[in-house]
Amino acid sequence: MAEVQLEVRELTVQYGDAVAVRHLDLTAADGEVVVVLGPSGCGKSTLLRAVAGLERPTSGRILLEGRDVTDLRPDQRRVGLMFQDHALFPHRTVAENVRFGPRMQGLPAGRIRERVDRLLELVRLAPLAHRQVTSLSGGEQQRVALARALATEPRLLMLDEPLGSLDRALGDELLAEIARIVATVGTTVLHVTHDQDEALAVADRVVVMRAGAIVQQGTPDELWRSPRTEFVARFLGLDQLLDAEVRDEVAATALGALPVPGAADGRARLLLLPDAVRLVDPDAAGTGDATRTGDATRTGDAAGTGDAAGTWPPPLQARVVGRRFAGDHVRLQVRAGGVPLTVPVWHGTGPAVDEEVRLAVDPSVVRIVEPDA
Amino acid sequence: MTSSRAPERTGSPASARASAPPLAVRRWVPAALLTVPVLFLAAFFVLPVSRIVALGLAPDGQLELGVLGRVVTDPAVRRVAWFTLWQAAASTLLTLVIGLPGAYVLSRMDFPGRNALRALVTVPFVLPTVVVGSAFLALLGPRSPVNDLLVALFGDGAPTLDLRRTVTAILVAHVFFNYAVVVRTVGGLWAHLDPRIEDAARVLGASRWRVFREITLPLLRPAIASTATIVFLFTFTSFGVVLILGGATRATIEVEIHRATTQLLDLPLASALALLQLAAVVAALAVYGRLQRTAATHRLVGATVGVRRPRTRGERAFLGANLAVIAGLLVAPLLVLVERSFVTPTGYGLANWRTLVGTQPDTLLAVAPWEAVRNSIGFGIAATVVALLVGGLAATAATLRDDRVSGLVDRALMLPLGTSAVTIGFGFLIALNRPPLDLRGSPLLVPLAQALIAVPFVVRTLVPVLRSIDQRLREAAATLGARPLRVWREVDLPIVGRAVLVAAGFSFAIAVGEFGASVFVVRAQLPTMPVAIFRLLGRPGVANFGQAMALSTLLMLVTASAILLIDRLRVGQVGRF
Repeated sequence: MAEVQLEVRELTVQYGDAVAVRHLDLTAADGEVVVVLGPSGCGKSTLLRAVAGLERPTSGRILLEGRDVTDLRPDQRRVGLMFQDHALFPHRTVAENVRFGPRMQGLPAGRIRERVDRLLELVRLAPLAHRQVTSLSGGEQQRVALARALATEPRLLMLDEPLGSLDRALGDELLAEIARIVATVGTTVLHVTHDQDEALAVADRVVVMRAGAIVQQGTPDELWRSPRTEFVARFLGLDQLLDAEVRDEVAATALGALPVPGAADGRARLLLLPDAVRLVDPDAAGTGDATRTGDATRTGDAAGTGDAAGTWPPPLQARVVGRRFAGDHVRLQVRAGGVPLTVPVWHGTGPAVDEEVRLAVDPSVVRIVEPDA
Repeated sequence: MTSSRAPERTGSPASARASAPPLAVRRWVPAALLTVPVLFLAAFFVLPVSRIVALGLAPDGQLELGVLGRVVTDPAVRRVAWFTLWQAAASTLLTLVIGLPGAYVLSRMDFPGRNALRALVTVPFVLPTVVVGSAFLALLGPRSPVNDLLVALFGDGAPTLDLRRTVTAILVAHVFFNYAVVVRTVGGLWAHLDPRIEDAARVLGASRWRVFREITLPLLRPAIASTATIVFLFTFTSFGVVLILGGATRATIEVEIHRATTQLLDLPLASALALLQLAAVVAALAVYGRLQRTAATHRLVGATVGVRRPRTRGERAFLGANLAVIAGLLVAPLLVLVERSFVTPTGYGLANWRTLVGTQPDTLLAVAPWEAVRNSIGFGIAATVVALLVGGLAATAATLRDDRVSGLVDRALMLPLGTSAVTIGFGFLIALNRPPLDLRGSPLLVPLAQALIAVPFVVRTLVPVLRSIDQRLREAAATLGARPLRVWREVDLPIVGRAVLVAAGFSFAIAVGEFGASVFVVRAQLPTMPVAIFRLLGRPGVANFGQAMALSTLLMLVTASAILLIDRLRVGQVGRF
């Protein structure tokens, strides 16, 4: 693992009686992009502000490059913060906004000019250098904010909901732009957002926060494949959850018995990942060993026969209750044993509403999650 | 007056939150800042007003309602009160009738020179009353160019125009003054009304007139009502204009207070009149405050959304008619004023202007006219410094901590604006001539009175700007490496700096043009420009009249350039009130 750039130890931030962040530990390695993901009010912005020195921690320490900065003022920390809605200086031009940080650092005029030019080039705003920032579009303002935050060559770049006020298409474009620029500069990034797509798209590591504490962290893939709690699952948009009773590593559910290797006996909450449920091709002979999901690697699996992925339970009877067109696929809403499920259909149009279908559940993509309190 | 409405000014959520601990202010700071404004208000507002109350209710130290009774029963006083009331009502109505079409044209129609014209129509509102009086005297008095023309056409026996001492002259001058109020306040809302609401009514089958009557007018009603109240208040307390144009027969309460003080030497009567005046002003302000609170909030749009070029012949004619009104009502008097300043007994010439810069002491003024200019500028600078100090401290305190004390001081500092200048001047005269504060004959009285009148404008200019500074800007500066004091210098100061300049410009313009209060406290040897103009107008002869015109022109240039400079700086909604 690379050198640790940021280390937050046992951080607690309180406003009067309200605890915004409680006993939080977090590290970021040199060059790592860490995304803090959580609903509004979970304390993620407070965490960012505490690292920047804008909030005073109630307890805990903050270390940058191994040095304790907890008692330093914001101006002594050399971190970059890109504010939500940018907070550009309205009384200054684009170039003056970017120049501000280097000026505060007392750099010689030549170095400042060189740095400002380079950054404006990097964010592709050189032609607008002498415009008033108030005359810029939202996307342009956002790029000025990024350039301004990078101009001090910060040890840590923090982005607070950087796409907050932009529309989706522009947001996606700028997200790619930020990723490119951050990669060019090679800085460590602490990025805060409530949008799981944004988080999963840019993060080396995602940290999910709830009520001031971290509930899970990992790579985007780890998080997506194995959310530990129902909250994390739902926050990532995974909502096929069922109650189950586990005995001898088999879960009894409304969808029938599902093998859950390693699970303890008792009540449990099951999560079916989006690719867990597929249609059993009605035209296929026998018990439906071919599926219409287009996932060729699994078409050889025969229901009821054991393989590496576990035992496939027998197909279920289900009824299509709705269809949603989603561009490259169609999402079928079906009900099986009273449980609403969503099944992606990748090829063709699939069955119509009210049609009876048969479903197969892939036990290898069924997870046990901690239920929500 | 507060900006009656400014839809675009919404506090950002971040600025509403309390500042973060590392950037917070110590608790005692706002209280310390408030001491100067509180002392200023106590000495120069509360003390004079309570002296007026004392003198009005108990002239000989004992409560005696006889004087007050005289105000109610004396037919002369009743005539004055009645005239004050009805001329104010008529002025208000006339201003609305002439101003509303103007508000529409300037907020909804697009035509070349629109922005310049909007700035231009604001100028009359900020002109000193004495200048306006002079201008209308020049246009409608016996020395009007209209009369020159009549004489040229019909010879010496021609009928002449002379509207001095008529209500007409007063009403027209009042419309001149308050046209900008209607255009700014009603037009301000009109510009932001969603034009699709009217479009919807049109699509539903309403004629343009029906749309105006049933949609536009009701939506504008809050702005119209508060504008009417404020115009009523301004015209009810009108002093300089009425004093110059109305003569002895057409006196408002203000003029009567002046006459009772300077000619009748009846201070109890003046006090009783001032009490009557105060009561009326308080009532009008209460109505105004109520209207402000109930101001409707509808969907508002950007100011340019509903703006379009006139398309039909009718629309072009409507635009033309309004431009003609602006030209005839607002521009002509000022042009005539300038033109008359060049008229000498021997035709056009620079004689009037030459006497302004000459060192020859004028016998009646007791000083050379240029000394009045010097006095005005000196007093103006002193008043500006005092107003900025008092208003700046109060505004800073009010925005540092939003507690009840700061709010109370903030509102208390608005009181001098509601109180008439004459009341303030009269109060100064009778209260500051004895312990605890004996400033009898002190030249300080003039700038202090002017500062008292200017302070509300300073507070009103600074508070919104200070409130609007997004806390995150300070935070951004801090994370970029600016130390605390540097943050203040780099963020607060440049943003507020422009507003301070605006406030200074306003204060100076107000102080230089101030007449109602100054005329009571000015010393004979140290007249200000408005006082000198008033004295010159009171004397016969072409030369005196010409000199008054020249001095008025100079005063107009000084105030108008201060205001136009402010307009260029454009901080928020300054100039609206």
